[in-house]
Amino acid sequence: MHHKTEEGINQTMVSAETPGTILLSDEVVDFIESGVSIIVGVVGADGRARGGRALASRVLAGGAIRLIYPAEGNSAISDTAQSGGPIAVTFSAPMSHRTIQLKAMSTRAEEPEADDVNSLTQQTDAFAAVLRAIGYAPSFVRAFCARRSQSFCVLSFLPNAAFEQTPGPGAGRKL
Amino acid sequence: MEMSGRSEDDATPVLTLDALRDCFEGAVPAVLATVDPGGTPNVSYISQIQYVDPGRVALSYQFFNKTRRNILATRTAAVEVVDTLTTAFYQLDLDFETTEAQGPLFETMKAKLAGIASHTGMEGVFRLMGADIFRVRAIRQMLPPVVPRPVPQVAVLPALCRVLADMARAGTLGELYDTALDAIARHLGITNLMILVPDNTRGALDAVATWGYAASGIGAEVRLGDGVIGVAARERVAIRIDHMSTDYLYGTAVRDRVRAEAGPGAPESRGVAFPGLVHPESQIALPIIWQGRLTGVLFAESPLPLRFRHEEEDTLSCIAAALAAHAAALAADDDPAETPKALAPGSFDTTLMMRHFAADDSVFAGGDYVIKGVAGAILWKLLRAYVATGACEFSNRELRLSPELRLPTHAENLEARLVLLERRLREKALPIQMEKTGRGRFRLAVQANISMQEE
Repeated sequence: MHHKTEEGINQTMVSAETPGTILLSDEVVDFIESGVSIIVGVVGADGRARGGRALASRVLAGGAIRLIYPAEGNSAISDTAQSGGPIAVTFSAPMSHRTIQLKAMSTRAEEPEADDVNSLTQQTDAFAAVLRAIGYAPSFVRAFCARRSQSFCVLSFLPNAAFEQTPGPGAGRKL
Repeated sequence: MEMSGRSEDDATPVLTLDALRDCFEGAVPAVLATVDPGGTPNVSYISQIQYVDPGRVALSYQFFNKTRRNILATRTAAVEVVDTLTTAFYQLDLDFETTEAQGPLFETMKAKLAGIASHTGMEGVFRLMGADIFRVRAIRQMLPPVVPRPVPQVAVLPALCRVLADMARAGTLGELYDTALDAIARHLGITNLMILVPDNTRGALDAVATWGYAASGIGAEVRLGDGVIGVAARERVAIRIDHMSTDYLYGTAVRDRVRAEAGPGAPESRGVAFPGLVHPESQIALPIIWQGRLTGVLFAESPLPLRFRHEEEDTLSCIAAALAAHAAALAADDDPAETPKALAPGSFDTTLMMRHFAADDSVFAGGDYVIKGVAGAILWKLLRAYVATGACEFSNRELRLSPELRLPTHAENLEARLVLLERRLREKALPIQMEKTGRGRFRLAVQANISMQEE
């Protein structure tokens, strides 16, 4: 198989100096901070994959990404942040189907900051408007928005790979 | 299956796959997480999760991507699903078993995926390569329900009881068809319905009973494999579509093809217009199967999306099973044959020219298409007997044994074809009508001189 995969990248530390860290273009940063659907893949202690959902993201100047996710229902993500395990995060806009996946070999649990709260509010407001526009039931949108008022956690990671995942023949292409 | 849904409170029910089927209706894309052999996770959306049985689900395999490679390499995955009615979240640990690239499950998923693609603007992008079947190893509730489950407008089980009770009163096959559709409409509130019966000699089904359409459409043809009806008949599996897709719409293209195939020899269109809704959003077709043989298709549609969910599918499947059994019982006990009373054909003021095209057994009265296929062959045989000998009393038994009708070995569905013929003659208001004279017996009532022409 000639497909280039990300297994070859050997990284254990989250650090701006880590070789292999990728810097996202301003356009991609704008996209992932615009209020999109964010889903997360991690690996449980048993070695099996686990899925979860995050609510907002922030891309810092050095390329690190802070991911803001609800504590409730996301124990696999919290465990990963505590143990520093690898992560995959997919950002998708329901209207355009544009989808991007970022991967990192390690993560770090972070203390929430004021800017995290601002991003959480702005991005979930924007995403709720999209959900309403595409016809989700008001009760579903309200339940989505209610999740941000519950306790949330933050983790950070330095992406070492970014993939185009918009459905179609180009899916899987490295950015 | 390990069920970790049980909380410390013993009153909390154990989570079962059967109880989570509403999560698989595709309204909110599910999250699919996999891991590669090196321990790197991958996460993507999954368009479609299909309930297979109480222990298994199938995921749509559309692209050979990283997710697919991970599944093949580690044979594990996890999906997180949302019940959009209650907003509860569940995570399922999955063990990969096998991929099916054809057959009933594949076709069920292909039809649903076409609906999802249509609904999400992904027609032409989403294409089902296979149905990946997984055993569900564990189910965990990640977030509890927030919104109370809505009270259903129809309590399905008592409604089903009423439908079956009504059906049990039918004394003839024609009555059974009509009673079933009327009862489904009244008790379940489903208002656009059809029963179609297969004609294997020409690979098609004919509408024999309809409910809720401007034109009855009795005799309208659906080819095997066309639309949800044709696929349900070919694969003998329930086919449901929640958002209409042009791939499955029994629309103009199919109608045009049917007419074009009739060829220039036909004096006019050899068919009856399909009576279906012009803009359906939901459609469901259930095979009616008796002793392993397809004896019909029960079809329902609605202008509303997501009208038929798992519960409606199960309910209509029960009704299809009851239809099969009841129809078989009605066909089994013919009255003993009486001595046919042969009289000379009567003499009338008007003469009706009947024409028969041997290529497809289509029969025309004057210039009007009446019927084709096995039912057409039956009509022609009856008319020949009548014109030759004056015979007008017939039994299903003699038709079943008639070599010229080309009935399949078991002569299945003869009764259904007779119902179809009787209804077409009535709709065309021809001076040839069929009257039931007993179980498995009928009379041809002719009120015109008949001239016959073989084309």
